[in-house]
Amino acid sequence: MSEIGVYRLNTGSCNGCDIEVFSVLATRFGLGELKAKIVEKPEQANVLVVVGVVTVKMLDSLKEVYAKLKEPKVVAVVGACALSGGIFQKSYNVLEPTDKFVPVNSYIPGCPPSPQVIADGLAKALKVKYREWPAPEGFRGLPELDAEKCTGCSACEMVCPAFAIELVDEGNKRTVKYMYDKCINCASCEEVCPEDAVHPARKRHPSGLDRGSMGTSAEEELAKCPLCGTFQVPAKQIRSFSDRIIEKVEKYNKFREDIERAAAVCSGCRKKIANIDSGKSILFKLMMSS
Amino acid sequence: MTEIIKIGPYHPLNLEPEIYEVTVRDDKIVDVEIEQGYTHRGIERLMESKSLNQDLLLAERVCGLCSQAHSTAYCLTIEKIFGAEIPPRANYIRSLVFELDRLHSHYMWFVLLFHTLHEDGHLIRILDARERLMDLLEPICGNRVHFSINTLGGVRRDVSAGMLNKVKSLMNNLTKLSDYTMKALKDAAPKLSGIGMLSKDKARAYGVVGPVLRASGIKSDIRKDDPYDAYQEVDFDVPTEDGCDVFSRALVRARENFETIKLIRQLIDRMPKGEIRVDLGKPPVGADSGRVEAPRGELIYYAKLNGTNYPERVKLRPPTYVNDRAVVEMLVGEKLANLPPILESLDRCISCTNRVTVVDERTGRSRRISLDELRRLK
Repeated sequence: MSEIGVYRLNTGSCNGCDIEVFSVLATRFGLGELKAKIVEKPEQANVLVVVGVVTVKMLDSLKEVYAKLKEPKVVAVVGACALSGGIFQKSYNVLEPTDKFVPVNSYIPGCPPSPQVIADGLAKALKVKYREWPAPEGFRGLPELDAEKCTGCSACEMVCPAFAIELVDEGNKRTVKYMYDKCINCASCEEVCPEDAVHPARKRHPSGLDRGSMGTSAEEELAKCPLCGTFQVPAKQIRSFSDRIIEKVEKYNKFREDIERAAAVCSGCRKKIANIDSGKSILFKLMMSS
Repeated sequence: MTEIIKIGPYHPLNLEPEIYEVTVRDDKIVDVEIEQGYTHRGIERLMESKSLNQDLLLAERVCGLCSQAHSTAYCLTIEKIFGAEIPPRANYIRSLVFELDRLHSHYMWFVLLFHTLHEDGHLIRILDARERLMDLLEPICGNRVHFSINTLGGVRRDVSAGMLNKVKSLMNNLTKLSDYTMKALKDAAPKLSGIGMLSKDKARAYGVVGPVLRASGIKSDIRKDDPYDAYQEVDFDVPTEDGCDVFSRALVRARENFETIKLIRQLIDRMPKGEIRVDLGKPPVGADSGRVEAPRGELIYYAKLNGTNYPERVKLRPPTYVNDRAVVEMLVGEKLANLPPILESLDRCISCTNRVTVVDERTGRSRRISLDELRRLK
């Protein structure tokens, strides 16, 4: 079998993925094992590696290079930016994601993915076996969510700079979705999680063949608002912070049920509290509902 | 015969994809036009829409090779506005990672230089040795390229004593690698000497920064001129060269590698113990600027806060932006074959010449030539 040519196209990357793709050339990663080499012209290549967000000005070049590839055409996208736009999502000059413009065979997540993962992704795109690499201690991989501990409080969603965390409320269920195609490995979610439920994995996450399936999620039950009956606040979060209140002030223990019931009131009903009288009437309703 | 050669916009290893339109008459370059904006991602506008902490992660992702430079410059600027003092140990850790970043950036530059010169032996050797450094950055910071170790008010992670020892012992290996790089560079001197001249006066006029400026004989280094982090507490020299050519720029970087290793050893020996992070409190109203010496030169950040968690304005001036203008001065009058190393000497990447379009002005015909063909023009 002849060697496969790999051509890299920077469509607006920060250079981080570029140097990591270049580092794959280092002997230890065994690009030779994959029978692949990096070529200088798109006409010599089967495999196109796209790095970086697609900027408005680079879109034509991307299409041009894709058209020049030899058959069969294989496209691997490297890094959060190329997968989904990463931290640059919603910018006026960024067109995301790359797979809207060219068909993609292999998705390599990370910001940037280490050369080990890039080599693995290339191997997958070429349907060749490749070895597994361990990750060192302290490695900041993609976040793993502990569904047991997660309360669905949305703290991580608020700090995530890359919109990689999404809360979807459906009926009385809340799904906390972590999307690895958007994650930029910053571990902000770990820093902010009050329940210690998110940790970056100490492993090199493998590349995927499908963007949508890359991720992890947890399901939370939502408590019913005692006034209007809508579902808004996760039951586990109510329990968790009631615990914390009682831990601080022990004598509130006997009001536990009241605290939990008041906490389940949805934001819509809270907004209706215009003055002390309406507050009192809501409290009265709450007491009646118990 | 006059030809216009269009280089770009796609070129796999370039920092900023852009087009160089080079007009050539009788194999001499007579004019250069630069067209930028191919990696414009709207970062300054994005920064206004993200919170201060998120902006730090965004600042880091402006550039993959100067990751730590951007995040340090951003932190310095914002901390100045907050009026915060950050703990000494955090300063040392920032500087340590900064210098490791500079080392891996410079080694990468040499890899790219030898790639341009088609000396694959040197390329693989340096790339392999550089992996040892990356292997240490990974456990220290958690990532090989975007370190995310800085945070507003300090650093996010402490570095253990065992890890510091590992870094220190790695420095012996890297000294050998730097010796090797120096030797390989001196062997390549005939190809690099006397091309891409940028005289001292011109360097000052164009306002170039970093190694390009120092190779034109002007001593300028923000770490010395306006010390930040822990740089006022360590001793190091700022190498300068008077050659003003491509070789001098390479030599400055090769000599900087030794200085950086010296710096890292001192930073580890003098690293104080204590806190690594302070709480900054509520965002104030105010504006300030900060600057650092990135591997490519002076990097300036400006920020204006309005008392909310979202900045009103963030402006940055990266080093390559000013250096890029000087390329016109360097290229005009040169042979076309010398174009790759001259562009490379700015510490921007030259695989752009993978795709060169030659337009014959008289016939209007255009043809594309590869890097190899360009090399054969010599």
